[in-house]
Amino acid sequence: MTAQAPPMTIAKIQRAIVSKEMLPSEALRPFLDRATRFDGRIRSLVTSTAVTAMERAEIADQDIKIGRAPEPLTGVPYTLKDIINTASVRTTANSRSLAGNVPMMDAVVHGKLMAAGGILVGKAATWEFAHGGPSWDVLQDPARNPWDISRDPSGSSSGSAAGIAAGLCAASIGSDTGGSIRGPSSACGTVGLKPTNGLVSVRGVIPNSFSLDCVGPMAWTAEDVAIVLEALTIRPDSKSASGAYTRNLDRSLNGLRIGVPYAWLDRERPPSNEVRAAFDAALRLLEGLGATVRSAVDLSPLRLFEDTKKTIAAVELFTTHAGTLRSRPELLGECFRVRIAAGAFVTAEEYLNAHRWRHRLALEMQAIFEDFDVLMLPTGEPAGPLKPTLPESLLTNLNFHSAFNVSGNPALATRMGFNGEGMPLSIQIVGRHFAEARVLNVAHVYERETDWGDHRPTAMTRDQDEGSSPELRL
Amino acid sequence: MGRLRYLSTWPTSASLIARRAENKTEALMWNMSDDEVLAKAKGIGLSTKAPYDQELLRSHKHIREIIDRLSADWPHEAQPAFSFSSIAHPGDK
Repeated sequence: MTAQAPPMTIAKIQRAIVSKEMLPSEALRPFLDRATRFDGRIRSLVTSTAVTAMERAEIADQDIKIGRAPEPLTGVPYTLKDIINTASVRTTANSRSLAGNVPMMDAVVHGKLMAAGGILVGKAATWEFAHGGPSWDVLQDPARNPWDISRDPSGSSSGSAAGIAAGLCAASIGSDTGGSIRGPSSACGTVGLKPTNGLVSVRGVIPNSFSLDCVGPMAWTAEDVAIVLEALTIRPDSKSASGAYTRNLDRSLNGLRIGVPYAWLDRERPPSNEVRAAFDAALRLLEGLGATVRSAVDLSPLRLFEDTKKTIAAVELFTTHAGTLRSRPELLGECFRVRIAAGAFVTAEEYLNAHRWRHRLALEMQAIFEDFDVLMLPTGEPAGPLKPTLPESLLTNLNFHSAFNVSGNPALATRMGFNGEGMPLSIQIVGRHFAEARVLNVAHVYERETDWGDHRPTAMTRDQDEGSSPELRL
Repeated sequence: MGRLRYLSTWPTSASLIARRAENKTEALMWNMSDDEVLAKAKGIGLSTKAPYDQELLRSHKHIREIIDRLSADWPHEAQPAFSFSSIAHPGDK
């Protein structure tokens, strides 16, 4: 395999290793080669662990040679968003305030992936503390979008999605407090799942907003996301993955009830014409597979979900980071400072009332799933130019992500085509609490019926001189 | 449940004045002059030197706009927090 061949999916790596067509180090090497060649321009990594990754793969080679059965993720290269603690590997949150931070303990998710045979190849770029960005006054400049390096890969799990799209890793663990897995997955044409709040452990993850934070799997396909989710949710008393998320991936969609919150789409946050056309085409395809689309989704205004999230997040961010803001504000980027300082101007009464809104909105969301199996809506707009944004933008924006952080539902982003400029479009599939298996089933069948996954960023498949780092300093 | 009322009742100047007359805490937080915002920030240990002073004023302005919309129709249940026990026991709201 050469660096120009399409990157292997996790499912293909699994099959190749189980059938002994390939050793773990052979599966890993093309990913490391691509990282060497391309990460100077993509900047998906804050810290590379390529050397230890190859050592670990060679140990796995020996295990296979002596007849030991492979684990579910043996030979699978993954990255961790750089807010996820890794013992002996620095974890910076892309903040100058944590430039030399080397944790003593691994986060639970890292431990589970290692136990499943996965190989850490690096710590993935993030907006500062998974919140403020894109910024140029933090530890490292922002990651670039592999489809067009002048475009924004979105955030905050930017390096996770960019690395997967560029074929520098097969999976990554991102975090999602207000869309930080789904936004980058949409912008970079990858697949990302924000699980039900509480399904995946956040122990050992630097908090953003502790009552809203989730971590979840990102990969190239829904099938790969399902495989990683099984590894992340394996019980301590179990020796093997449950199959809970991969077993029914091919289940028929006949009779599936899809709800579409048209009030959000038509009135509050109308998508562009190209996104709306692709979304309508996706719904027609699913109807052709036996699903029914229903429009009577009676939800509160999107802005109410968004304001509830922002109020809670402002206070929790301030609570977590007030110490640094007081003692060394110059070590934080401007974007992050402005956003977290907002929490200083919310009273305790207002914070708790925002949680009351959250309670009510979560129950409302739960109730509408009595009539639907999944909700669907576009994930967002295609990637725009990578440029500094006003810090206030995160306090004023309105997107289709935060509602499901407030309600706690699982939400997955997957490809739904490309726009006229060749940038990926994305659809969001939302399920009942803890119904990740159904969400993954719908996504997998939809991916199977389309060929969007056959397309990779052209910059990564062209044999061209990658040269030095891009000169796109802003 | 708020719903469209949430959008239709975004504070007008008249409703703001009326609400702030009822809710002194909210009025205190919103009606603060720039000097008062910075004094409060300084009082809780935040630096108010440039450029942080202007940043704090921006933070205050934007979060108070959000709270203004949200507080127009606060829910009044006793239970303040979302709980996943509501999933396990859906009838027990």
